[in-house]
Amino acid sequence: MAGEAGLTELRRGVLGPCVLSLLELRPRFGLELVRDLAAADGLLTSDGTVYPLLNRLRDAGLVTSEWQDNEGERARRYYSITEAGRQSLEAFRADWAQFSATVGKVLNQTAALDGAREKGRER
Amino acid sequence: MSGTALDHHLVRDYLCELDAAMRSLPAAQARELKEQIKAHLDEALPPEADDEQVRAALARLGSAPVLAAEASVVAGVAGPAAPVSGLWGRLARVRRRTWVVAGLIVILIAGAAKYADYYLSVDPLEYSNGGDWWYAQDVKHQDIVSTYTATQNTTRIRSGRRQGYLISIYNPTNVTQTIVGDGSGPSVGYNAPWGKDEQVAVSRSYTDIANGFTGESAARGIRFTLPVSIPPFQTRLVRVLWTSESCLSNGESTGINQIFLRVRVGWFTRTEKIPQQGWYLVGPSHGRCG
Repeated sequence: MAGEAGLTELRRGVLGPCVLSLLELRPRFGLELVRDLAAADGLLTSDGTVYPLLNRLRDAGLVTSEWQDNEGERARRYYSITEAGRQSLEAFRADWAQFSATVGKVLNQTAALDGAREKGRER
Repeated sequence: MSGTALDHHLVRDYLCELDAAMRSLPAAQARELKEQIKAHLDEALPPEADDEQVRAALARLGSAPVLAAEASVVAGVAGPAAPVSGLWGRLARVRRRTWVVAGLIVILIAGAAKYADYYLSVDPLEYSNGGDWWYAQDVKHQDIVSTYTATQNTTRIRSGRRQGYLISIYNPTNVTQTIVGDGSGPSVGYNAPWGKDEQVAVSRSYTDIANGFTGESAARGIRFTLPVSIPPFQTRLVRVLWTSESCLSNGESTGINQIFLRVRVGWFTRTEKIPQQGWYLVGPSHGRCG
């Protein structure tokens, strides 16, 4: 079992690309982003952690932010993905596909080996 | 009731906790995160939110220490490194209050330097043409020689007796200059090296001494004192008295053609060397001389 601490580390590792993925569709303001991430069950443990993450993504040049004062709405800070952010996201998608496949394979092999041992003992 | 959930007491408490938890973060980062959290709560909560709603929103947000800790970890995303190390990183960690204090100190130093430069570069007082011996007997025996460039006024030395002269001093600047005493020099009597007990004093007002001035009697009623301020573009009378003590042989003379005054300009006091006409004493000495 990964445990809560392990899951937290896993979430931290993937939350950035998930934020970039949502922003790839369209710019979003903070609360909107929080709600969309919260809708993906288990991805977000606390709403507030999204903001430090957004700031780090911006410092890394992957995201930009801009205040917008649309008519009929309150002034909001919208976050958008940058070209560097898109490239980073593409790279992560490729790595993730390979990584998750590798991890899945190892996890499944282990499960298969355990199953075979169990069967041997029964005999 | 106020119009925003940010005024709710639980929200205010939370924001205070957040301030405390973010104390170790760079000031700019802490300020930005707090602004984001406030915007989040302002939008997530209705203006009339009750305690239960506020508690639920704050619980979803995460505790202040967790949020502050999260703000200090590195993002798990590839990209150019954020400028957190080196000189800029160290500068970014300096709190805003420190910058404000440092800025004020710099402004004060720059202001003081500008002030000092301004006052210390002000032109000195000027000798205004004209003047006379102070005592009538010296006026009586004076011999004035003028050339195109200079004037020399010579009278007999009266050794052991008080002698002196009176001149006009003009302030050519737009800053008040205050004469506080005679110029500090290597010896007492800097303005009358042939005498002792030198005394410099300045009139509180100005009387024209250019024409028809006959020394002591004409100056009767004018009060001489120290210190005296000379406002911009105004003139005052400066009287220099001493007891002559040099022994001069027949035809021998001694004198000066500049006066040294201690002058306060703004907060600064300086010695001004002011060229003037020549004041000379000629022998032979009569009476006591040292």
